[in-house]
Amino acid sequence: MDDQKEKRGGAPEPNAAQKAEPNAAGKPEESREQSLHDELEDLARVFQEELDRAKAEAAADAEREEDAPGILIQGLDDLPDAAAQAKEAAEEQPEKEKALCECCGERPRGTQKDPDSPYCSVCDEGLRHYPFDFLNVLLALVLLVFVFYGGYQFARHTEVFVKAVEADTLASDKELYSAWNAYIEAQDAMSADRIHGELVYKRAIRVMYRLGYMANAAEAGENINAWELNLPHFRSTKTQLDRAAQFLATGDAAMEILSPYSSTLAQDIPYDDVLAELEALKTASPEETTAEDGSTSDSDAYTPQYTGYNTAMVAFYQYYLALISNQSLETQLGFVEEIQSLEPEETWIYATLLGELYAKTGRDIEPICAKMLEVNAEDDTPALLRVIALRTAGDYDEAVAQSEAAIADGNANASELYRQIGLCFLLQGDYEKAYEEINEGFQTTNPSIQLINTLALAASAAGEEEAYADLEDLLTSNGYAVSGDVLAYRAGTCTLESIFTEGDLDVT
Amino acid sequence: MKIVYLIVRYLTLPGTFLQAFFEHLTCRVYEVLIEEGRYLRPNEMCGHVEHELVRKRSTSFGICFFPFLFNLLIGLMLTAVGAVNVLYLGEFFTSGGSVHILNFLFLWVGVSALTNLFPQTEDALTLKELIYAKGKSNLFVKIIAAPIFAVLYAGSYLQKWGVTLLTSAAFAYALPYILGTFLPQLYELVQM
Repeated sequence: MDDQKEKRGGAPEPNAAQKAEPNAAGKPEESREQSLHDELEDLARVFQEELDRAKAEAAADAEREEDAPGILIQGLDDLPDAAAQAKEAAEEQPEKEKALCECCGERPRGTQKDPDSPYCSVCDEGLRHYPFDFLNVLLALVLLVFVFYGGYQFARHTEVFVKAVEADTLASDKELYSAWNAYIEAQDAMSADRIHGELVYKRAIRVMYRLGYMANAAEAGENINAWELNLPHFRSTKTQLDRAAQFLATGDAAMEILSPYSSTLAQDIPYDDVLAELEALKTASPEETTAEDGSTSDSDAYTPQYTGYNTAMVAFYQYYLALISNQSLETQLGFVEEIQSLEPEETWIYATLLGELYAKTGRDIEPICAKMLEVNAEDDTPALLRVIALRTAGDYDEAVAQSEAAIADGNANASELYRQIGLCFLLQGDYEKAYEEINEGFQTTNPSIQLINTLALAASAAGEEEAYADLEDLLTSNGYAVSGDVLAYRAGTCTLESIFTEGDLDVT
Repeated sequence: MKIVYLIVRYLTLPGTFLQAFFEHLTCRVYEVLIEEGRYLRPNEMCGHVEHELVRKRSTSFGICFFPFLFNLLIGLMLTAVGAVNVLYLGEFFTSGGSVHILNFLFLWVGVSALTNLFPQTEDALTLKELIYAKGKSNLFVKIIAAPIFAVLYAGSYLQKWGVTLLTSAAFAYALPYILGTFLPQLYELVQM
């Protein structure tokens, strides 16, 4: 660029040299050369004046219009100082802008409080109260309403939550009976508030299953969608429902075989044949339980899946057959121990039976009592088993003392404890006292067949013939016969001692 | 890790929005100059507003603490509802059989709010400078502010790495059990 400037700006000089060359010798030529030089100098001066004028005009135009200087400068690019001038002008522009507010770009930056602020005082004030976007305010309000609605929902769910927490706490403390009642309350509260808490049903099913309330568990399972049972968090529930259905189906099949003999005398039951029928169940396939029975078919209802009957449950009914057939305690124990070996976790099937049989056969009952309390801390059966163990061992005073203490503690087996006290008095020869105690048990709750028979025996021993007749009527009106032990005692073919110290060690 | 931060931010959009909104609101209350007021920019300022450097201790504390407090209250309320209904009672469906969207929404918004509790690390550092620099505060203020500052300071770093999503999810799972320790007694008292 500088070369060009030199070339063009100093153009007259080379021209002058070229023109001077032919007349390089002699004075006239010298004077002519001098005049030519002067003429060229005049020309250069004129040219310079024109150039200065053009530059001044360009600068003036640039001030008037912003775009014009660029165009002019580009047009006058070949002039020596125009580009530099344009560059200076371009550098001055950001400096002017820097002095203006970063926000509005109009007013000078800096505030009274902070002169170095990049904002003018107006923008500074505005940015300190930065406006909210309408949409943001609307969203915030929606979220605020959502929070209040959440509070309302929480209040609505509090009762159910509190009841569920109470039930869960009881279940984790292994107080299963109380937990079961609490779950029922929680389910009632859910139904009232139209809350479909599937995890509450799940936990309730677990407690029912551990208690052996299979029908209740299956019923509660209807509240969980069938497809959900295949999800990981319901896998244990699915297993429990499947097994519950299997236990129930096994029970139904076994009862079909046993029901004809429920009121048959022990000696009339074809023990071996019935036992073989029950044994066959262990390898049989259950009937398909589709909705062919006319019951309403719900597509969402879960169909439990299991193969075959439960062998432990079959063994339970074999024990029951042995019991009603007056088989020996060892035979009964054999079936119960089979249940234990097949389903050690299902204490609800075998623990009570095993404890009773251990007590009657003089075995140590404490391990099974500990196991029962480990599963359900509210289980009152261990106290009863200890009393039976004491009674069968002949420690009647201690048996009576422990029974009375257990009754005072609110033991759920109070009627049976009264019966045990009565048996102790019977064996000690205090028949009147025995009758009173057993009658107390009879009045306490809905009496068992065994309790009625024992009361009938005590009534016979105490000479309460009217009471005996009433009890006999009660049994026969309900389709039961008076126990063979009672009839034998009344016939004088056996004694009280033989009934309670031989064979089954009890009224059967 | 910026991408993790942004993913967590956008996954927990309601909480991100609420945090920025409350930060904006606090800045307005304290008259702090906001230079950029967009809440959901795809950079490290997502969920925050860009404000001037605060030089006053109480203002710095307010900007860090109040968005934290408001998001915490909203988060606790909504997480409690969502966690109790979904995670504890298992109310996944309405009594009519359709999915209970509202319960899941409560849980999501609640966890979102709890995920976005903490201030920016820069704000936390400013607060540290203003409270704990030599000669800035007396010992009493330093001791009183210590627990809250510790939570804000540690939380700001956790939030920077997106860890707060995990902590808030874990908290949501534990919340019904925490409520279960005192709510039954409280409910009984109210019923009496």
